[in-house]
Amino acid sequence: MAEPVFREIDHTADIGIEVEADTPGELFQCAGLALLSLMVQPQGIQAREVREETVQAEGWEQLFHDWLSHVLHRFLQDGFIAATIAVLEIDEHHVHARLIGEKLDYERHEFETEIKAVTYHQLSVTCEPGRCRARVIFDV
Amino acid sequence: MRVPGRIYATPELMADIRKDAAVEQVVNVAHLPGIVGYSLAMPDIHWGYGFPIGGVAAVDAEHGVISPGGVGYDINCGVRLVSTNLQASEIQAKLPLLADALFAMIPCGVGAEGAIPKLSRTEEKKLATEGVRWAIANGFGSEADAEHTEENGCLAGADPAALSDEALGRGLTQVGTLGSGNHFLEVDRIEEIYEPEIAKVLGLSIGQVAIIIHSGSRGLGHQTCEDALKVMGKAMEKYHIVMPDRQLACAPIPSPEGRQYLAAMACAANYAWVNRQVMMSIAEKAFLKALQMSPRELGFRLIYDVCHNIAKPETHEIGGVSRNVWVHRKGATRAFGPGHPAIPASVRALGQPVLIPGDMGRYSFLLVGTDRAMKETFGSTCHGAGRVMSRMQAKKVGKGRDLEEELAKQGVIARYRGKGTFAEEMPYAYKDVADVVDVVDRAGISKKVVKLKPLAVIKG
Repeated sequence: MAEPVFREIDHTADIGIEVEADTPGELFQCAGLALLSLMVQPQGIQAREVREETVQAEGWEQLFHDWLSHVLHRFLQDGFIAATIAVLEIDEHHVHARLIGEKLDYERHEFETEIKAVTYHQLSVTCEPGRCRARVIFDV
Repeated sequence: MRVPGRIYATPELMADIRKDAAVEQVVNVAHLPGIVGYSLAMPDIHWGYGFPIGGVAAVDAEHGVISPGGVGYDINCGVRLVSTNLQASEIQAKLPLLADALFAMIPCGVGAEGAIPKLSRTEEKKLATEGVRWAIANGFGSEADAEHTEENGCLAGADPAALSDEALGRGLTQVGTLGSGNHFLEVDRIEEIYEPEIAKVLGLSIGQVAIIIHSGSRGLGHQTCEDALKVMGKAMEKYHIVMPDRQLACAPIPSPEGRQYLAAMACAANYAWVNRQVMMSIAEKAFLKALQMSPRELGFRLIYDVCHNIAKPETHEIGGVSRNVWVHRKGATRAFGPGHPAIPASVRALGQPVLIPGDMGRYSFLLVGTDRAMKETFGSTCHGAGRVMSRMQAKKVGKGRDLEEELAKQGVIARYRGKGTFAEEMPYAYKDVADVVDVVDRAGISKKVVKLKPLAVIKG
């Protein structure tokens, strides 16, 4: 199995990512961590808090959008940033995941930038057996 | 396309504009049901999501659609210009102290909160309904501030019942906070005056210290846009609307979905005005503390507050006929011409003051609206410099450089929260705002009045 990977998309005003993975679970896990890594350098984030989160939506595209929005909101509202994400259950209608991390601490963490929202602009998610891809642009 | 597109630019700016998907987005916007005149783009146009940033679209108030993507996530993101009685030469030595005080007192960066005590939901709903009047009643500023704010700081039709619980929840602690990204608070010096008569009426002269505040509706606005996109994404099918980009989701203005969004959008717009009003009030306290002077000596006075992410009901003459329209301005500023009743009486004869911030190293401009803008652009003009480099590129270019020192060499003291944001926002990542402003000035859709040079900048 190949490691899931993400690339930043060179968007003029905002930030986008393209993610590739073997399974939907890895796709969602990789995209969640990628989103957080754009806002805070992942080094030094400690496993101090465990959260289990469930997101429901209809179809891969909406689920992917809502999942990332959920991860983003946890960060924007509570400052919670995950060092690891384990997707425990996933299908086209829901994702259930365990996030382990801690709250942002300006003294210890390297804050990059704030992302305001997950947009629908050029959003695409395809999940086929053995090959999952997604493209998403964030509003900065 | 239902209408043609029209882009205001020079051949040089056009070369940059063509580098990304912005022109395609002007075309996409021209598909909006009920759009009238042109799908317009200002010279600071660049690739956004759905609408281009720098886009203006007017839709018929009865038969048109409202598109939350045409307003943006940061509803009523905007800018205000505040003048003082100070001369830059008088405060030069104390600038670092002043920058420290502003940075310490105005919460910025992610999760910034606590500028004022946490609101109750009842109080937050009141704030969202009343706008700037709420801030003034709670001791942040004076009545004159409301007069010098677009719509007097309160967009009509606000109904907090249209806001989601999540939107209200996100707004409870963020009043008076700057945020991150391209938002900033800046101490400036008036460097050049192009229209001495207008500057005189506005009380502005060379060497004077002014403050620019750029921020929006924070989490409450972002959530409101997100909520509406979901609702409208589903409603499009019901209303048989097909758009080339899902981010352009929209609904007929008179529909329940359209009305709900407009009521929520007005709440978010009001929240943003309160946010900037409270920040201005805190900035005044920071000045008083750092410079050890009285409010009278300092003379904080709001020149004007504009929004540049908004949709407004307006009346415009189109093809010789007066029509009621909703004007979407996504990264564009209202620029009403002289005599318009929406302009405060004291400056009405000049045209509406328009504030165009540049990057944090070079300069910003104050302009006024014109009659030509009323005829050609639904009374609209540009909103800023516009990026020329992606955030990724800007960070690459900045790697290994002492960016703080580079700004200091340009005479700007910087205080910031996020290193990434700071690198992404460096002057080289932006077009020269003077080029942008020259286009709108030469095209006659607004008139240059004053140039301001930054001395100190606070960023999230």
